[in-house]
Amino acid sequence: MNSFPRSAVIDGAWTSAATLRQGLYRFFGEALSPPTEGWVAVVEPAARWLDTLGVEPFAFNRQWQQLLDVLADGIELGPLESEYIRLFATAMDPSVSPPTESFYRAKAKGGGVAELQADLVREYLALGISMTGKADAPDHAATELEVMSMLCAQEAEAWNNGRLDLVSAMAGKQAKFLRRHLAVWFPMFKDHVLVAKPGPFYRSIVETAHAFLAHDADFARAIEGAASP
Amino acid sequence: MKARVFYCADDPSSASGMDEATGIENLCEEPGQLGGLNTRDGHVVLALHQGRFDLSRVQMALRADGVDPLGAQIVEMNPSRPPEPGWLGVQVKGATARGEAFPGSSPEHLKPSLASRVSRRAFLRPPAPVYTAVPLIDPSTCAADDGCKVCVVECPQEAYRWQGGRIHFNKEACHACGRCVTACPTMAISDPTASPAALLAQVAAMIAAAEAPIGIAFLCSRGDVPLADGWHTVSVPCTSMVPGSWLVATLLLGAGSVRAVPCEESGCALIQDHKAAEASAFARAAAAWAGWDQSRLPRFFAPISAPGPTAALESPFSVHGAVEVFTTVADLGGITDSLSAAGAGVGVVTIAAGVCTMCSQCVQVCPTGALLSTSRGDSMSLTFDGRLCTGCGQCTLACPEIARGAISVRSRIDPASLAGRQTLNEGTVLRCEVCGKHIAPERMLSRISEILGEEFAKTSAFLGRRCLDCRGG
Repeated sequence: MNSFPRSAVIDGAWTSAATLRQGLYRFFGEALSPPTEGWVAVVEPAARWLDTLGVEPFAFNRQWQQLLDVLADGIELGPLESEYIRLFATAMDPSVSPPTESFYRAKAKGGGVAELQADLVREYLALGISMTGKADAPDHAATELEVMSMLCAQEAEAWNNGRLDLVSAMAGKQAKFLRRHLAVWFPMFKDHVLVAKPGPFYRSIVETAHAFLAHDADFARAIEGAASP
Repeated sequence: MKARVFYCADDPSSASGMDEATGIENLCEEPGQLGGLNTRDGHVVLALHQGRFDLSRVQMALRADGVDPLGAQIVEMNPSRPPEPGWLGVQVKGATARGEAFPGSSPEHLKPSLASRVSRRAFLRPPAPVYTAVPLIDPSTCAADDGCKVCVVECPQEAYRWQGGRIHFNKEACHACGRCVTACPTMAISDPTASPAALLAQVAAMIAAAEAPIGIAFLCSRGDVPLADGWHTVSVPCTSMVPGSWLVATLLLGAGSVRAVPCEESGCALIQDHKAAEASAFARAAAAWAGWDQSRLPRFFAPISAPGPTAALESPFSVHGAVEVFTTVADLGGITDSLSAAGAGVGVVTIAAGVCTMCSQCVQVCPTGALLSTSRGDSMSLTFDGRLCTGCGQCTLACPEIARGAISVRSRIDPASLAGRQTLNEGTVLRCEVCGKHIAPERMLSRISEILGEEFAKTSAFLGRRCLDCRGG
């Protein structure tokens, strides 16, 4: 008989870590979508709740704590909406930094938007994820971050079930997706945003998300190796 | 920004020689105490007891307080081996200067690793990654698109791969020895824990802080070694990253003695002794060339020698610092002879003028611009500036006539070649009979003709008369 209490596994630290990462991906995905009244109301409590899941051991905690400080100072919908449009959504303005992979891929290597988006949709299907009509573009940061959030949710479930083989497989999928997409273009996106001198909120969001993504690309690979049977 | 110094005040001797430092009891076991000290955005130096602290917990505490742990300097105190009076003060002064010169890090500089394999029971333990710093390439200064592959050649772990004009870096394969940082001819590779400027600041501060001549030992951060009186340590990721010119520069800055402690002696597992040995051998040869006492570069922790001539150096630890160091040594001693030995960090390119076709492949691949091709009218020349050459040898790899000995590079300090740009080869460029544009160097077309032979004489002659655009279908 297994003397390892199931409740302890469910409350286990590794499950928490996967849940934390799942939450962080969703948090940053929401933050890089157009702000809404409902979101502005919950953003600080959401960040505080994520903090309780244990950000402290991870290297991106330094940037995360700075983000918490920014959130503690308070944010308002009106100025955030203007800032979002200025930074990410003003058509024809070369200083705008669209949060979409194809923009940075095209700058670095050339290549079509439609081709990349079609490749991404195929990749999502291979991961068992299909897009609904309400979703953002397949190469939008919010979509890619949400895909990562789903993969982390599956990893958390695998931890809960004690399936280390699945944990390793899910972590491998995360690492591969990150290295093919977010870890490649997000640093360019961050640099582009910082040139436009964003206010404290979006500056902190892109810097913290960048630190988290750079960390997670390696951390997911470390989990894949450590949990492999 | 000035660094703040904290030390573990568990034994009374801890504070010895540490001015303006704050003592905290039980700091080694409870680094979380740093959290309330408002160190955010500053530089931190920690003097902790060897073997009593957990680095990952210290790093965690610093991060929680907003401090970049890679920039925090840790000076290890060994209570079982009390240092000579003033030793700790000099180490702390050096660490403070190094911390203040910390260039900052990027999230990509970090490599997390999990201490062990995950077991079912490990579900209950929180994942606490251990972080190491790894190099990062700045694509805006990397010369890979010109064909430079110095990092690929230099890396002992084969972590770099050149493909299509880009360098691909495999973080997992990297053991962070720092060799690529000092070898990169364009300084495009950075490791914030091994910044040459920060290491220079540390060495200079330690020499300035000491009341008597000291010895500086570059020591691998993975290793440890018992020190003799008068010796101080400068921690580097691996001593194989320390070029011979750094050892000579350390003496010029005023150290009595200097050495790069080999891996075998320090117990470092990377075992890159051949490279460290090459640097030390070169530095000894340079000392002999300069007429200095060679015992200043001992093979073991010998008594500290008296300092020799000193000089103010601007950036002796940069990639072109070797030139600054050796021109200074030559000027101080009035030396006009050259010194040939492996590991100089300075190269002299020679061309076999009759064999070189002036195709300029060497110019294209030269990452520092030491080799240049210039044309005026129908004549062209290949020039070389020894002050820019690091002896990386990329030109020899690119030369299509290397088998015939068209080009060679020697690791050599030659005061004559450091005097300025000189012409290595000259020739003429043929013009197109149709449009008048330049076709190619005459020597190159002659060589093509030679390779094609009599059978294709007409083709060769045609190639020499028409440019690519005017050759038709």
